[in-house]
Amino acid sequence: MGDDGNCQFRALSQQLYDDEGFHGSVRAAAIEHMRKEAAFFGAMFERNEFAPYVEDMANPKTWGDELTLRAVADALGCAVHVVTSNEANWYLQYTPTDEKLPVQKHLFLTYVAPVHYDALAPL
Amino acid sequence: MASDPTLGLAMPPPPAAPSAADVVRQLEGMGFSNELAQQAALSTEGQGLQAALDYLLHHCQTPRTSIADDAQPTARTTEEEELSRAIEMSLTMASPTTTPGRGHPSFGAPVVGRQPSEAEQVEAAIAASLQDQSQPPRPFLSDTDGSIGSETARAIAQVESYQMGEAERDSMLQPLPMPTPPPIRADAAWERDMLQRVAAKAPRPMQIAKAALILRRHAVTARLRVEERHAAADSGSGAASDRAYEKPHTAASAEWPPAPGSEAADKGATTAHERQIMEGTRLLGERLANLGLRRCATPDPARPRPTTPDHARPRPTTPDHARRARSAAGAATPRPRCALSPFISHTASPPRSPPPQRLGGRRRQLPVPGPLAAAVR
Repeated sequence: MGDDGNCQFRALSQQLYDDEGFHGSVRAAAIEHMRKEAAFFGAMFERNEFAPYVEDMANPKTWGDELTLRAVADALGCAVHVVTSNEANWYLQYTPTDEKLPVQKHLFLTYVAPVHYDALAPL
Repeated sequence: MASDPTLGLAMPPPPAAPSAADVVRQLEGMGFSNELAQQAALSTEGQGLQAALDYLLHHCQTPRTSIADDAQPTARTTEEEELSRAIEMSLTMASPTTTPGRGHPSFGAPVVGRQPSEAEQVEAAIAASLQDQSQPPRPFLSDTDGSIGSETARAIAQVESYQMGEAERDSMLQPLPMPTPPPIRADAAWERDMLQRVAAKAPRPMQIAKAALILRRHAVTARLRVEERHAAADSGSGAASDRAYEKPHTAASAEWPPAPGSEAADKGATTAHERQIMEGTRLLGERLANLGLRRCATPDPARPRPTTPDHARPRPTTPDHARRARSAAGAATPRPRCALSPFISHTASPPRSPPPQRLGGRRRQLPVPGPLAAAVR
C-alpha cells in the first residue's frame, strides 16, 4: 500500500474496489459516518476533543486508526479483519454494529503496530 | 402570415409594441433604477421604450421632487440613493440626445414622427453608455467640490457590476462531479477462502472495545514519536523533514534495511520504537506465512484489475505520480515518506514488479517535473 499517511484507507480501498486509489472516498465515508454518529464516537474522547479529531481526520494523509475502521465497518456494512503484529490478541475483527444487517463484504488487513496498514491476499 | 405578391416572399409581421415589463427591463439595463423605470413605463404605457426614455430624461431635468412625489416610498440606503442620482445625472448631462441642437450620432438628426427600431434603440443606449463612461465623472449638484459623491457612486456602480458578472458566471458554472468509486467488488469465494485461512489458526477475535483503546494509545504514541523525530530533523543541519527515515548513522552495515533479527538490524534500530516495529514486522511475516497470506503490496496477478473508466478514477496526487515514475525508472532512490519503509522490505511480500503495460489505446504522456525528468532519464 501507499505509505503517505493514507495506508489504512488505501488498504480498505484495495479490498473494496481492487484499487487503492479510492482511499479518499473511503475516508469520506468514514468521516461522514462518524459525524452522523457523533454520540457514539464522541464518547471515546474528552470534551471538545471529538470535533477537532474529526476535522483532522478528514484531511488526507492523516493516519487512520481503529475508530475509522469501526466507522468504515458500520458505514459500508463490512466486516474488517485485522491481523496485527502484536504478540497476543493479534486477530481483530470489526463487524457492523447493527447485527441484523447482513455483512456485505469481508475486508482483510494487516497492521504493523503501530505504524502501517496493508491489505491481505492469499499466497 | 403576410406576403409580398410581387416577390412571393413572406413579409415579417409588424413589430409589436413592447410590454411595460419589457420597457422596465430595458430601462434597467440602461442603468435606471427599478423605481424610475416602473414610473416611466406606467406613465407612457403602450408608447414604447423611446417614449419612456424621453419621459425619464425630461423628468430628470426637472427638480427631483416631481418624480419622487408620485413614487412609492421605499427603504433605500444612502448608497443606492447616490448611485441612482449618479446614473440619472450622468445620463441626463451626457446623453447627446438631450443636448440642444445635436442628434444622436448613430441616429443623425432626429426624425419627427419616426419611431426608432428596437436595434436602433439598443445601439443608442450602448453608445450613450459608452460615451458616459468615457467622460470624466460628473459631480453631484449638491457637492460643493463635485468630486466625492460621483466617485463614490461610480465605485459603487463598478462593484455592483462586478458582483453581477460574478453571479452570472457562477450560475453558469457547473460543479465538477466527485469521482465515484466503482461498485464494491463481490467475490464470495475469495472471501470464504480468506476467512478459512484466518480462522484456521487465528485466536478468537479480540474484543474490539478493549483493542480499540490499546491500539489507539499505541497509535497516538507512535504519532508523537514520529512528529518528534520530524521536529528534531527539521531543527538539524538543514536536512529535509524526512531525515528521520533515512538510514541511521549508527548502522555499521553497508546494507540498509538490514534483515529483521540480524545483528545489523539490532544495531541499526537505535530506539525502542524501531526495535518494536522491526520485531513486529518479523512476527507478522511469520504469522502471515503460517496463515498462507501475504501483504497486498502488489496487485494479485490472478485477479484482473477493474476496468474503471479513466474519467471516474481520481486524479493522481503528486507523491503517487512521482512514486510511479520512480518505480518505472527502476531508480533505487529511497522512499522516505514511510515510517515503515526501512522495516518492511524483508517480509513475506513479494518484491514489487513493474506495472503491466496497457494493451490497446494510447498512453497519455504526462508532464514530468524537471528534477524528476532527470531521474527518469
